[in-house]
Amino acid sequence: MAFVSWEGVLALIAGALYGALFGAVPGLTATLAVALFIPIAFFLDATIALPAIIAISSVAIYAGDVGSAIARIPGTPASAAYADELHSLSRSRGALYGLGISALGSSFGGILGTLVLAGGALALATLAAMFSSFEYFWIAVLGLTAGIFASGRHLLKGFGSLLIGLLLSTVGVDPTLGYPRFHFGNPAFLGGLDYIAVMIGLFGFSEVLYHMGAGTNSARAADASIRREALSNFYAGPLKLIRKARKLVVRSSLLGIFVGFLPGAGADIGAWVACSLEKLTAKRQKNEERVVLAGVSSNNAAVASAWIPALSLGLPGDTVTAMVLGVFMMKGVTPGPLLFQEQMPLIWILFGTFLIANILLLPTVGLLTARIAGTALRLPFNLLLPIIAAACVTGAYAINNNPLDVGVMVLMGVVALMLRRGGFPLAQVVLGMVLGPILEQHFMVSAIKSNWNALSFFERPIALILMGACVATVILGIIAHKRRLTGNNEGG
Amino acid sequence: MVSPRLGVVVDRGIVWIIGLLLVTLCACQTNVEQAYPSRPLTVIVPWKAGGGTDTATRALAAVLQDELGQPVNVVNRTGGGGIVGHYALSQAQPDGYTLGAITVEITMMHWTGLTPLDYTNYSPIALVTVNPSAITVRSDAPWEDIHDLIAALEADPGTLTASGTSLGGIWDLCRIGFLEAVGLDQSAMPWVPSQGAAPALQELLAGGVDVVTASLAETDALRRAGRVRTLALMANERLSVAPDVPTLKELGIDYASEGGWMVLAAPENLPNARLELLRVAVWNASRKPEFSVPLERAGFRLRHLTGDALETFLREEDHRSGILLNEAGLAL
Repeated sequence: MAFVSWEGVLALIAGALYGALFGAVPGLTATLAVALFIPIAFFLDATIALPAIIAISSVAIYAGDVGSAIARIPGTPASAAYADELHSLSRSRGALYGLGISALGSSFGGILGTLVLAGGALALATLAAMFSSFEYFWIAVLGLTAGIFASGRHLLKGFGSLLIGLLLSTVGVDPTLGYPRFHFGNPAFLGGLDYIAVMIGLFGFSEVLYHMGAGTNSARAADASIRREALSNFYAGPLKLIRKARKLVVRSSLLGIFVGFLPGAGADIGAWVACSLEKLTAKRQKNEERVVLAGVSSNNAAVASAWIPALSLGLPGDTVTAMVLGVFMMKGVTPGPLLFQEQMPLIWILFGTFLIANILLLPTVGLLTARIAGTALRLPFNLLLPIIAAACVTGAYAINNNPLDVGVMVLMGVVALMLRRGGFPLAQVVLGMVLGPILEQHFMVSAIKSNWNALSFFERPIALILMGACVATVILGIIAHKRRLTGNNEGG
Repeated sequence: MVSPRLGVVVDRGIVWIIGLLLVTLCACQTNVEQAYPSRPLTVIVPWKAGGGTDTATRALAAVLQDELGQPVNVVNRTGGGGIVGHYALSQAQPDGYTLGAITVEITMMHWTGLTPLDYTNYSPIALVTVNPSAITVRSDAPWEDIHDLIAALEADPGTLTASGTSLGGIWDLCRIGFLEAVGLDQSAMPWVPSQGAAPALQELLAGGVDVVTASLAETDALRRAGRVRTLALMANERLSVAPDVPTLKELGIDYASEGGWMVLAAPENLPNARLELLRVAVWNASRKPEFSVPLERAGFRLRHLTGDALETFLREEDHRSGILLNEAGLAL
C-alpha cells in the first residue's frame, strides 16, 4: 500500500502542518491552501497528492476554529455558527479545552463522514443528482430559518442581522442577469463584498474596537485557571463530553453528511442547522459545549461527504473537490461509478487517508495548535489587541489581494460595534451573506425555467419534503422559544 | 584611546570600501538595464484559484521560471466577473515584471458597458490555451446525435433549455452562434443562467435543463463517468483527449468557436526587446512535456499564436463577441 510509504507519511504530516497554518491565519483558507499545492501535485503520484490534499483540507477546516478561540474570528462561515460559544468557552475554561472539543468533535464527525463515504457514496450520489434549483432554493430557506432560531433570546434581532447580511450580499454583479448593483462606479465593488473580509471585520476588528473603547487592559478573570493547562483538558475532558453527548454527535454528523454531500454550499448549512437544532432542543441554558460539539462534528463530517458527488458523479461540490477532479483528470483517472470498480486501490487509499487524518492527525496537530492558541490567550490583552488588528488587516488583504477588502473589513468592524451595542447577533450577518447569493440564484433560475410559475416550487417531491422541514422548523422553533421565555421568567 | 594614525587608516579603509560598493552598485545598475529579467515576475490571474485559467497559468508559470531564470509568482486578483484582475494588469508598470492572463471576457465586457477596457489596453505576448465549447446532454436523453437535437428544436422551439454560465457569458454566446448556424432563432433554446459550468451540470443531471454548452474540459469528468453524452464539439478539429467526439463542421454545420481562451499579456507599451524575449520564453516553455501533457489530459487545448497572428486573433474575437452580444440583446 502506497500510503504506508515514507513519501505518503511525509505528505500527510507536511499537509497537516501546512493546513493548520493556513486554517489558523485569518484570510487564508483551506481552498487557498489546496490551490497553492496543485502545481506541486502535478509532479506527484496520485497516491501521494490526494492524501496530502485530504490532510490539508481536513486540518485547515478544524484550524479555522483556532481564530474563534483566540479572538472570535471564525475561519469559515460554518464555524461562525458557534464562534461565540467557542470563544467564551476558551476564555472561561482554557483554549486547550475549547479546541479539544473542536478537534475531537471534528475527528468523530470526520470518521462518521468517511464511513458514509465508503459505504454509501454511489447511492447518495444518485440522490444528489436529483437536486435541481427548486430543491436548492428550499435548502437555502431551511438554512436561513435555522439561522433565525439560533439567535437566542431575541428572534427579531436575529432576523434583523440576517436581513443586513442578505442586503450586503446583493452588492456587485447580479448572479443571474449580470446587472451591476450598488457599485458606486468603482470596478472593485463589481465582484461583491467578500464574506471572509466581512467576517474578519465583524468578529475580529470589532473586538479590537470594542476593547479600545472600553479601555480594557486588565488581565482577564480566568487567567489563573487557564494557567493550569494539562493534557487532560485537551483529551480526557472533551472525550468525556463526547461520550455523554454521543447522540448529539451522531445526529449533527448525519446532518452534516446529508446536507454536505449536495454540490454547492452544503457544509455551511449543515453546521448552522446542527447548532440551531441543539440550541432549540437544549433543556439547560448553559450549553456552550454542546453547541460547539454539534457545529464541529457536522462541519467535518461534511468535509468527507463533499467528496461523494466528486468521486461518484464527477461533479465538484466545492472548490477543493473541483481542484481534486483536476488532479484526477491530469493523472488520467476517471471519476464516476467506474472509479469504484477499476481504481479500488486508489479508493482504499482515499478512505484510509480520511481515517488517518481524522484519527491521528486532528488530535495531534490539533494539540499543537491549541497549545499555541493557549499561549496567545495568556498574553496580556493590550498586547494581543494590536496583533489581532494586524492579523485582521493582512488577512483581509490576503483573500483577493484587493485593498478594498481592507476598507470593507474596517467598516464592518464599526458596523459590528453598533450591532453589539444594540444586542444584535453577528453570526447571522455572515449566514445571510453566504446564503443570499444561493437563495437569489436558485430562485431566479427556478423562476426562469418555469416561466415565473410560482406553483413549480411545490411540484417536485424532494422540494416538498424540504419545504415541510422549513415549516416544521418554524413551528418547533416558536414553541421552543415560548417555552424558554416562560421558563426564564419563572426561574427569574 | 585609538591612535590618530590608526584612525586615519580606518577612515581611509571606510572610504575605499564605500567607493568599491558604489562601483559594484553602478555595475549592477547597468547590468539591470541590460539583463532582463533580474528580479521575480508576477503573473495576475483575474479568476479564482483552482479554476481553468488559474490551473493553466500556474502550470505555465512553473515552466516559465526555468526559461527566464527568475521566480514567476502567480497572484489571483478576483472579482467583478474578471474585471478587477484585468483592470489591475492594465494599470501595472509595462516593465515586463508584471504580466497577466487575459481571457475571452476582455472582448465581451466592453460591449456590455461593464468596463471601458478592451484588448488594446494590453501588449499580448502569446495565446496559450483554447477551451472549445461542447454540446452536452444527459446520457438518457432521447437524441442520438446533433441532428436529432436540431430536429427537436425545430419541431418544438422554446421547450428545451440550455445552461453553462451567466447570461451573455462565453458559453451563452456559443449557444447563440450554434443556433444561428443551424438557422434557428436564439429563443428556440432559451438560456438558463448559472454560476458556472458545475452548477449547470448539476441542473442537467437533475433534469432542470436539457443541454449544457460549457467547455469539454469542464464536462469531461461526467462524460467519462457515463453520466452525460457529448454530441459535438464547436471547434475546428477534434480534441486528442476525446477523439470520439465529432466537430460541428464534420457533422455538416458550419460553426466553430475558440470558446474560452487565455492569452499571456503585459500592460500596454511593453518595450519591444522585452516583449520579444518573453515571446521566445513562452514558446520554449509551452513546448515542454511537463507543461503540455497534464494540461492536455485535463481537456485543455494548447494553441500557440503570437505577433501579428495573435493581433488578428484578438481583433476577430472582439468583433465576433460584439455581433453575438448584439444578437443576445446585451450590447449597449
